[in-house]
Amino acid sequence: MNKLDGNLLSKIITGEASPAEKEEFYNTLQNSQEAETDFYETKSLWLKMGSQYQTENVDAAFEETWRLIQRNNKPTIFQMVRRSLKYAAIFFTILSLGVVLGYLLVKNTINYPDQGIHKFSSLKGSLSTIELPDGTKVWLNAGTELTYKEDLENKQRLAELKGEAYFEVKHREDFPLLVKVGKVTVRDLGTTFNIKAYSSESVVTSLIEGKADILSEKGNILTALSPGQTATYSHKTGRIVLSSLNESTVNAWRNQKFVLTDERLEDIFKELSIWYDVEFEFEDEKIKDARYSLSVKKETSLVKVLEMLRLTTSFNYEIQNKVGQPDKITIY
Amino acid sequence: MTEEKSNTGILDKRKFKEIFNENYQSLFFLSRNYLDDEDEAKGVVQEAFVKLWDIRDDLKEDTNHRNFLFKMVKNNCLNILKRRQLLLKHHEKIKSLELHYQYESLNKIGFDYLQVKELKEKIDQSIKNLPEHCRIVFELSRFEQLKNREIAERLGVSQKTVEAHLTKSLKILRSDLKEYLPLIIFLARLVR
Repeated sequence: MNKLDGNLLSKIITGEASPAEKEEFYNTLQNSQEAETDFYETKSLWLKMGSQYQTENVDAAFEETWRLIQRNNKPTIFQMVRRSLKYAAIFFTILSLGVVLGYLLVKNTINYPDQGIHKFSSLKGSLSTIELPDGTKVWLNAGTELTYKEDLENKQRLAELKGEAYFEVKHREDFPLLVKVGKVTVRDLGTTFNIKAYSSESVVTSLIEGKADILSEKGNILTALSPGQTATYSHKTGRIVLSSLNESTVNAWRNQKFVLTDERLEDIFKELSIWYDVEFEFEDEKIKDARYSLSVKKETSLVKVLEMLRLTTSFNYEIQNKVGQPDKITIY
Repeated sequence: MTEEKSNTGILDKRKFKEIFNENYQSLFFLSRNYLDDEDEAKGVVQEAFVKLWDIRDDLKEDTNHRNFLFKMVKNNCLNILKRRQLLLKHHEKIKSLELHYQYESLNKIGFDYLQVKELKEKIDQSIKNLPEHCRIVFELSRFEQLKNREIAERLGVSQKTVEAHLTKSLKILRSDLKEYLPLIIFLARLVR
């Protein structure tokens, strides 16, 4: 049977068809291009003719939508402030437990909402959690900047990251999230991942859950990450080295801990400088490349951390207090 | 020309309301028809308007607001239909086929859906020209959204008669308005 039964078609269009009739109808469509066209045309006509007929109270609908717009805009700022206050509270609790931590400040910088670009940053010595307008949760490590924008024309969410962040992405099949980090872009495919890009030399992406692609500047897929993998992209060589993910390292910073496994002393100091807001200088270049592992709580004082490092190695340090700018620590 | 112009340019609240009044009804009608759920349909349409307002400053001068809204609503409905299809159990083959063809039919509806005002006159004329019994049944079904059973009761005829009148009306209208449906024919040929 190739021709559509007109009676059946009108029943389908008007929503009057029984299950058996539906079965007959859709089976016919499967076997006949002509019937399919008939259906599309008639349905389109039916819709066009009905759309002109006003039954809804448009004014009431407008008021409702307008209220939604106003409610949408206000709480977002409010929530963020509240969230950062909550964070501050956690921090001050830690402080009151007798831990002295200098340069502590929790602040989110918010540019909102008019130009559609959202900017978030966490200061040195503080962590922030934020929720992007699409519901994606992001933890920002100290000294991190993140911008976010929805590109409706190309149906994508664009973020740019400097520093380190942990993403729990609200996945949308039709609206991927792209995080640009230096020369590479991480594309979410339904994902929880961590990106670390403090140093200008590399971008370290660790995938905890789901799928993610790492794209080159031109948009080619450099690698498709599987859960449990870490990809280290080197800006210098333009290459990616895959390794297995060390979950405690990735989760540590969110749990207020430094966990650095077999890293160069220079990189370790780079991280310490962001957390404690100090500057490091190496007098002996050779020390830079020595490798160490370190696991301490973030409320540990800098002096204590330095002492711990010094115990297992052979460097000395000198702290120079500076007024109005970061203290300087010289390693020799 | 003037109508095109009214759909572009800078958006303030007054203009936003104008665009809302002009398009809400049609968009809601479309999404309700496909989603078959008043609340979900309303949500989709509201979301489109909220989005339009949120990004108004990012829009290019010549962005067509009406087309933007239509695209948002259409895409969101398509996504919902696709998701529903994915959530179906293995044995629900007919439901799956139905969703597939609903999806495809929505997919083929273009921006001209909202530009229907221009041919409203022509449609009205065609409906007026229907044989009287057909016209009465058609108007009750299409515009008052009555079920066939209700129409039959109201007119004191059998359901079979109502069905027959509807079928005939649709057939006449389609051939009458054929020239206004070129897009669909073209697309279907392409697929072939």
